[in-house]
Amino acid sequence: MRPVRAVYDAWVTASRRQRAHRLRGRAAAVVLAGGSGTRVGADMNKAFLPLAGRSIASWGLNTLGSVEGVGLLVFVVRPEDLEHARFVAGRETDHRLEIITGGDTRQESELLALRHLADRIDSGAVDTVLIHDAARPLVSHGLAAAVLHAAREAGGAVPGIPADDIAPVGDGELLATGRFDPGVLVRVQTPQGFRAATILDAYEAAARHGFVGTDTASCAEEYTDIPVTWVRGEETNFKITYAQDLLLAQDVVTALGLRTG
Amino acid sequence: MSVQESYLRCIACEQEAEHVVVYAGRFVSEIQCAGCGAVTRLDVSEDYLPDLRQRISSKPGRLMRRLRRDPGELATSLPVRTLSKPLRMAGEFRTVWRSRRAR
Repeated sequence: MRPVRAVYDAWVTASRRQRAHRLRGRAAAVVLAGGSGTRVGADMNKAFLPLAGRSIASWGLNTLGSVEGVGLLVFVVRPEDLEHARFVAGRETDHRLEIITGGDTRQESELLALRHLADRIDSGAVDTVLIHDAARPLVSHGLAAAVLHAAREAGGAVPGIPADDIAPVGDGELLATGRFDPGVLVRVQTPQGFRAATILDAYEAAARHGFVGTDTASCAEEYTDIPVTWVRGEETNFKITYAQDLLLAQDVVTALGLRTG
Repeated sequence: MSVQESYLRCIACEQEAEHVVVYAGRFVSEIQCAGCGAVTRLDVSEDYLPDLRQRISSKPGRLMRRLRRDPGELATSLPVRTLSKPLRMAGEFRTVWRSRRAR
């Protein structure tokens, strides 16, 4: 009886592995570390500043790479950051990175990443794309998985934090009068997930028309009719913008006991 | 100790400016805005020693990983890195000590 059971277990395990392998080929994660493209000099792109022992960008890359269903990681960098990117690929992650150089704007970088994936999108090897800012190192595995799931269900999904503490500004230094419903706005984060073929078409259309959006969702809103849902984001998934954000991120890493190896 | 320079937004002058970021081991111990000169110092002495222990205990594993991935790179960089390690460690200790005095 025991050998039959062992053969059955091995067969079940092999089937699961095959299914998992098929799933891993369906989504691509794009991590943008393009910077603004307006700076010159030898300063390091903030995405490559160390955070608790490894670069800020590698945190997000490792998290997205470990999400079930993500089979491809595209890392978009400035030409002058290629050496840093290769260091990240060689030393700071076990996932295989496809490194490409981006454009002068975020939207151009996204377009170049989508064009890099175009063949695989057309063939159906990639059905969903997650687009993430490298400057948000502390995105959690759960949030990325939730965005991917929601994007597959609805067509598009973004993480957002309800903006209950926002008030509209009126003339001069006065607040606007009248009732303002605090429940209608969310602060949008990344990763933002979209059906790959649809978002590729949207970016090509935007490029033809010269449209420049603020993020992936704004381009999707302008050029597609797919509904974009939002999932609850995380306060720890903040963007490193201010110098003190680096200290805050360091505190979060220490407090959560996140180890870098 | 390592020093990196990068463009970040300054909380004091609200400008996006070059910042000098000083590290003690894996921890940021000081950030200075090159635009307005505002300095933020952090005492990292309490966290430094436990982290140093963790770095030492994980070093063999990290070296093995590098050896598996790129033996040539490890063979060329290891001798120089080993020779310069005492100096780099002394620099780290000095930075931690400075951050402690800055409390």
